[in-house]
Amino acid sequence: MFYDADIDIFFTDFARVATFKHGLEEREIRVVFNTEYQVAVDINTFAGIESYRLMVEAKTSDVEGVQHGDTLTIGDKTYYIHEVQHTDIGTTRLLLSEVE
Amino acid sequence: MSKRQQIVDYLNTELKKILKTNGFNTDAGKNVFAWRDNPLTRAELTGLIYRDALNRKFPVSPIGKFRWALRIEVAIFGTSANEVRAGIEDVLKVIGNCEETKWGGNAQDTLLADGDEMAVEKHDIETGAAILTFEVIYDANKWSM
Repeated sequence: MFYDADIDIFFTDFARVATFKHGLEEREIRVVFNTEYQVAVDINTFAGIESYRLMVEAKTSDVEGVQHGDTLTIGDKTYYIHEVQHTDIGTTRLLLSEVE
Repeated sequence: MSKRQQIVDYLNTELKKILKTNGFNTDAGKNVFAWRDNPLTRAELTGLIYRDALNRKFPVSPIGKFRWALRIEVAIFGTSANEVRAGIEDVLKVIGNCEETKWGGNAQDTLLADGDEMAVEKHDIETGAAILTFEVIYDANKWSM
């Protein structure tokens, strides 16, 4: 179980700086970046394509009002937010894509 | 060698001709695989996987022959919906070419069975796939295919 103080440690020690753009608003937040291997378009039992789910974990308070299509820039790469998964431990997981 | 094998070999050869230098939309011919069961890598797109999934015998055949309908599925994989559509067009053209030659003189007819089925997903990048299904009608000697 997370406590507020634990969340801060989590995002201090393991996080990367990202620029979160929501509409016209832009701010710097800290996120934990992760990838998960996944097979894409495994249509009708054909083998599909090697692919990755890109995701970040952010403090929910940092991404209030996040919407599909908002962007996160990490380093020199901009990602589009495709899915928003709220947790009950004060964090929000954002699934990202390089394409809009 | 069975007629079925000759038809499949013919298809394999023709699919490998899908190259931009041959007037096609894509270079899918560089990545042609039969019955591949592990995922394609990014470097293998545009890519094709085909399988001769079903060989159905007609209830009525010419005397001394078995008439077969060989169902072939070709899956086209690409990095965008547009690329996949371009690949579908290329494969359709190849099937048309095969029909013109009656699959190297091995078949009677070609039927586009179910058209195509397509899917597009956006993970880290956009990827897409489509399946084209068709049947090659051919006669083989009795008790052969």
